[in-house]
Amino acid sequence: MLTGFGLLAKAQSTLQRPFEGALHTYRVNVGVGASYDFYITANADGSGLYDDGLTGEFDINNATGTVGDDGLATAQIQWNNGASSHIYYLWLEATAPGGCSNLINIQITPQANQFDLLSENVPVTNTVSCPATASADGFNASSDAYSAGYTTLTFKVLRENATINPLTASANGWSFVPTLNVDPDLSLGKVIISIAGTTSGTIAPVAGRYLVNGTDNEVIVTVSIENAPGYTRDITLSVTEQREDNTNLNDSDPSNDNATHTIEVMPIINGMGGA
Amino acid sequence: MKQKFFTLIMIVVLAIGANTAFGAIGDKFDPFVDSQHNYALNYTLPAAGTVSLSITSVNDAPLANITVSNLLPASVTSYTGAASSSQAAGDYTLSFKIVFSNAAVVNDVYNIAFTTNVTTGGCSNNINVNVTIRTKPVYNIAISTATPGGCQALKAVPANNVDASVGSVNSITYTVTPAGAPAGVASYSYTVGMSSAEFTTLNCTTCGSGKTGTANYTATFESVEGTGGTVRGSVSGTFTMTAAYGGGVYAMTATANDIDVTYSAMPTIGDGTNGGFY
Repeated sequence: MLTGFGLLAKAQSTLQRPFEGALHTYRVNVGVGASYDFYITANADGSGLYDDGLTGEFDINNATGTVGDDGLATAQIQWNNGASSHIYYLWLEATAPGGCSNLINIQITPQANQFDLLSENVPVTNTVSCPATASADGFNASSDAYSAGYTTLTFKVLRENATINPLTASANGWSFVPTLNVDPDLSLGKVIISIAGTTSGTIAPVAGRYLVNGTDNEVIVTVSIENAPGYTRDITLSVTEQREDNTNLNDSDPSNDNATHTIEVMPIINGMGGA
Repeated sequence: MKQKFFTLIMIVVLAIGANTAFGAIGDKFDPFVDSQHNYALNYTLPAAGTVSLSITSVNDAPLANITVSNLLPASVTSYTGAASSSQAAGDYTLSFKIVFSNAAVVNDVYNIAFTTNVTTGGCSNNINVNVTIRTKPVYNIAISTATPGGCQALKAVPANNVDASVGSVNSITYTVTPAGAPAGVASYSYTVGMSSAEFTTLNCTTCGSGKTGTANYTATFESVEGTGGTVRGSVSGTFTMTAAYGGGVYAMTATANDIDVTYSAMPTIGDGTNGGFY
């Protein structure tokens, strides 16, 4: 358990080890009324000042300002591709109205992005099954009202290498847009019945996007596929447009975004006849 | 003829404190406020007689501001002019001590008069001297600094995610200069100290009492974010005069005894919950 936690912690995008692509908010409590300036240098002694305008590896938003009643100096930094090849020192210089300054810096070592959402079967080895033929699945063997019914499948979407929000000490929320493909499609019914997580509960999509509570590392996607006698069909759940809240991190590994489950062929039964 | 003889004999050695030169400020004839002097006078009685000592005010100088003691010879029991008990012919030394108190007033004048009378023949002699109170001697001492104050020090390379004020040490140096020692100083010493209400880590390892000579004294304190304040350097001293100058112990005159160096506040960074970036 501890080992697992350690690995998880190591793979997080943090203030000091942000993933490329992550947007992080850097906050410092500063005395009210002070003016402040965030800047980044190459060295711990403050030398090697980077020109934000000329440096593509990061972008500082709201680098300067005056501390208000909240007592916070805040800037957002977007860590871009290429940032992981350097060590940076983020400085905050705060200056009192009287002209005296105070300084603080933090060493930042950006990492390659490891935030990942992946799709898999439940359990992961359950890649093949037969079509459901229970009345609860809509299967109706009565000849005058025959229906091949529906097969209900579950997939799992997992989140890996979450970023812990320093203000809440909880992982950031995450979201994705699922797509369901059946091959061959045959223009038969296919639908995502629900997507639910332990904490999130059943999630209602917003413009097709499912927003998952950060405390859930996974959600269960339940789909219904109309049975098609005579066909072996591949059901694929894909996660797209993955994104982590706050950091805006995108998916780092597209190779595991699709999970396919095969529904074996259902024998064809023609109309009941006979002499 | 006989009277003339006595007169000659009684050319008493009336130089009070015969070995002391007159006229030096601070000596027994021009004593400082808060000093004390011993007076002595040799005289010879050619025949039995009496003497009298009279110490009086010349210009309304309060007699309460002086104390006379240690009168000798024992036959002299008063300094108010009363005749002593009879003394036999011979050589004598009159001696006494006067303490001029701290309340003595500058330019007050006291007169010391001594009279001898020979019982047989009625011849006499006398001597008197005015004693003028002088202002206390002055021994200047000054404290100064070239440290400008201003902003408190910051670490050039602060620790990771620790603000630059933490552990940053400010140094402030004061120079103490005793100057213009008056004549007759036997010894002196001063006490130098530094204080600050705001900078509680202020420390001066070389400060203290019993100091002499011109010297630098350096104190250090750690920067305090969010707090401005003042470091005050203070000096005070005393000096002691030789016995010839009354033996008084006086406070040195500090031409600048408190020097403040003011440091401005810098912004606080972090708080008890979030010390740095978060």
